[in-house]
Amino acid sequence: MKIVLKIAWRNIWRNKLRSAVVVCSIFLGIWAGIFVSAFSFGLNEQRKESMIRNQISHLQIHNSAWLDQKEVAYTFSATAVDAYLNKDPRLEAFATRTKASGMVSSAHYSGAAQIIGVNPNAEAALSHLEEKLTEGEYFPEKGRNPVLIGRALAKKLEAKIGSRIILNFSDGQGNIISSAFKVKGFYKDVSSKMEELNLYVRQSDLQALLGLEPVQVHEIAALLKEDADIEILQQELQANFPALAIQSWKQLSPELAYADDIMTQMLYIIIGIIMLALSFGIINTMLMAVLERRKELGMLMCVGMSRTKVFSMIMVETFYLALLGGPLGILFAYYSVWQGSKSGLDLAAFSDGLASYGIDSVIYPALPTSFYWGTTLLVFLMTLLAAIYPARRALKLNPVETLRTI
Amino acid sequence: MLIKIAWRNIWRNKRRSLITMASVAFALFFALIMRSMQLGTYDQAYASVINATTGYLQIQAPGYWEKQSLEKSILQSDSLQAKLLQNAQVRALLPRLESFGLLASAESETRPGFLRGIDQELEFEYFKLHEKIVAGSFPTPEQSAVVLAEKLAENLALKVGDSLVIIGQGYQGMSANGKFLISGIADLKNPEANKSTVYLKLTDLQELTGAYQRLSALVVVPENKNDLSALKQSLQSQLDAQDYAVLIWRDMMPELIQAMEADSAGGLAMLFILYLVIGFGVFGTILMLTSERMREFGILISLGMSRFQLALTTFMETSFLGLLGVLSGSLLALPINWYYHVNPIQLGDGMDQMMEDYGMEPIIPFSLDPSIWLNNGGAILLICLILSFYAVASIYRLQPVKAMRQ
Repeated sequence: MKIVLKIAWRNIWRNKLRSAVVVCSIFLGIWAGIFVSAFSFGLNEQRKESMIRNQISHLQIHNSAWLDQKEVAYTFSATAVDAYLNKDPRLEAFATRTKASGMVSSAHYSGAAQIIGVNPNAEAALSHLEEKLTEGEYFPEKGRNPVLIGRALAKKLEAKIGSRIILNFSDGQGNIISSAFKVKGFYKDVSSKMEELNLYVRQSDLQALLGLEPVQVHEIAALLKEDADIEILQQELQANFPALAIQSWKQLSPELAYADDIMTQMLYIIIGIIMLALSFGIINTMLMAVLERRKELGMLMCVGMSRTKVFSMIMVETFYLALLGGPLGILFAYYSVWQGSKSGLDLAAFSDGLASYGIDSVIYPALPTSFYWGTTLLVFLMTLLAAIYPARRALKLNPVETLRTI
Repeated sequence: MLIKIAWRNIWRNKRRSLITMASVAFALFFALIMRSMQLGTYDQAYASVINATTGYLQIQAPGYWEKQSLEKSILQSDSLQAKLLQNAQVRALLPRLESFGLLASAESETRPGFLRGIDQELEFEYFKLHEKIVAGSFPTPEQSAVVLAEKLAENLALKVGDSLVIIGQGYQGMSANGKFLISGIADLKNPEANKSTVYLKLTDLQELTGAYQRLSALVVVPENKNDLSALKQSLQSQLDAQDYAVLIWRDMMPELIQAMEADSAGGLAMLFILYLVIGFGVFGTILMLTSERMREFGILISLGMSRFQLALTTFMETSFLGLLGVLSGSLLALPINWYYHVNPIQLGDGMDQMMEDYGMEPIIPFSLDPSIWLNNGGAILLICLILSFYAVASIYRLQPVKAMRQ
C-alpha cells in the first residue's frame, strides 16, 4: 500500500499543468463557494437579529382576540404577567405597550400612523429606542404629550423639534380622538417604512386618551438572554396565563423562521452544485490520465500488479488532488470569512433595498463551524465518487491488447 | 473540409467530448433555470406593483413624490393634456388624485386608507380595472360611490351596499369628511394595495378634499414600455421644469428595485463561481486534447498543412464542443422553464408572507425571455472560445521536429 501511495504521488506530478488545473479549480470552487455561503448566512443572521432587536423581540404577549383584529378594546391586564416576568432571571428585558392605529397630520402632510404608547425606561432597555434618537430628547419629564417620530416622517410632515402634530385615532367606542402632540425627537430605523409608520408616545398619555386604566395594555414584548430558553418560557407562560396569546418570534414572523430553517439547506445546495460542476472536471481529467497511460497500466498489470492496487492507485491519485485543493480552499475561505466578519462588506449600492429588507448596508459574513466540516466531508466524498469511474475504466483495460497498441 | 475534420475530431474521443459537453450543459442548464426563475419573479413583481400603484410614468408637481401631499398637486388642464397627447409615444394620460384618510364603518374600528380618485373609463381601458371587481360593480356615471380593495373590505367588515365613512384632511388644511355608498369590491392582485385602497371618482375625491380641478399626477401610458427614459426626456422638454416633474416607476420605487438587484447580484455571484469551475474543466479538456495530439500536429505541419488551417480546425473543434454543450443545456432547460412559466410555483409556508411584505403575489413564474438564453449561452460559449486560444497558441509555438519525436 505504501508503494501505491508513493507511485500515485509521483504520478500526479508527471503532468504538472494538468494537475495544477484540477487543484486550482477545486481550490477556487471551494473558496468562492464557502464565501458566498458565508455571505448569505451572515445576511440572514443580520436580518434576523435586526428584526428581533428592533421590531418583534423574542416573545410577544397579547389578548388572544388581538390576533384577529387589532382593536383598542382587546387589552389585558399587565399586572400578573409583569410580576411573573420581573422575577425571571432568563429575561434580558421586557416592556409593555399600548397601541392605536390612525392618522398623523401637520399642515403639510397627513398619513397613516401606528401610535405606540411605551414605558420610556423599559422600552429603552428592550428595543434601545433611546439610542436610535438622532435629534431631540427622549421623553423629557416636563411637557404634555411628547412624541418621537422617524426621520422619514419628520421630512414629510416638515416637522422640527418642538413642532405640534395632530394624531387622529379611534378610542374603540366609535369616537375619533384628535389630539395634539409635541415632537420631542427624531429616531432612525434601518427601514424608512418603519420610520414613516411608527410614532412613539408615553404609554400613560395614550392610555388616558383611549380611556384605559394604567394596567391595561395591548402588548408585552420580551427579550431573552439565551435563544434556547425562548420556547421553554413560552410554554411556561402559556400554562400560567391560558387566556393570553403568547407568541415567539417564529410565530410572529413565519417568513423569518422559515428563512432560518432552510438556510443551512440552501448553503449545502450551493456547495453541492459547485461540487457537481467540479466533479465533471475531475472525472474528465482522471479519465484522460488513465487512457493516456493505457500502455503503462497494461504493463504494470502484466508484471503482476494486482487489480486492486491499480484501482486504488487511481483512487489515491484523485484523492491527492482533492487533498491539495480542498483544504487550501477551505483555509482561504475561513480566513476571508474571518476578515470579512471583522471589517464587513459595504453594499452601499443596494442600501435602500436592504433597508426595506430590514438590514444595514454593511454585511458581516459568518458561518457555523459545522459547515466547514460538512464541506470538507463533502469534498472528499465527491472526489472519491468522481474517481470511481476512471478507476474502474483502468480495471477494464486488457493488458495484452494495451501493450500491442502504439 | 476543415469543418468536417473538426467535427470528426470531436468524436475521436467520444467519452471525453461527452463529459465536457455534459459539464457545459449542466452549467448552462442550472444557470438557465436559476435566472429564469429570478428574472421571472422580478418581472412579475414589477408588473404587479406597477399596475396596482404608479403605472409606468407619471407627471407630477416637483417634490410631490417625496411628500405625497395635496399641497403639491397640479392643476387639471385640458390644453396641457392635448399638447402632451400629440407626442407619438404617449398612448393616453390618466388623471389621478391621491390622498389619505381614516376609514370607518359601523361594524368595526377605523383604519387608515389610501384614497385614489380616478377617471373610471380611462382606468378600465388601460389598466383593466373593471376586470378586478369581485363583487358589485364600479359606480354608474350618476352615482357617487366607492370601490374598496378586497382585504380592506374584509378588515372593515363591509359589503357591497354598506356605507363607508371617510375622515381625512383636504387641500390647504380643510377637513375632508364624507360618507359614501360601497358599490363594489375589487381584488387588486397586490397585497399591499389590497389592504388599503379605496377607489373614488376623480370628481368625488376632488370635491371631498376641496382640491377642485387639482391632480396628484397624470399617469402616462406609453406606446412602448421599453424605452421609458427617452419618453421621460421628451416629455420633460415639453414641460416647464418649475411646475412639472416626470417620473419613471424606477424613480418612484427605488427600494423594490434595489432589493431585486441585490437578490440578482447574489444569483450572478453564484453563476460566476459555477462558470469559473466549469471553465477550469473545459480548460483541462483542451489541455489534454492539445498535448495528446502534439505528435499528430507535428506530422500535419511537416506534411504542409499551414499552421493557420490547423489552428482553425482545433479552434472549430473546441467551439463545436462548447456549442453542443450549450445546445443540449438549453434544450434540457427549455421544457422545465416552459412548464413553470405556464404553471407558476405557488409559495407556501413562510415565503408567501415575505413576498407579500414586498407587495407581490406569492407565486414564482419563470421567465422565457430569450435574453436569458442569449446571455448565459453566450457567456459559456465565450469562455470556451477564450480557453481554446490555448490550443491555438500551442499550435503556433509548436516545433514540428521536436513534436514528432515525442
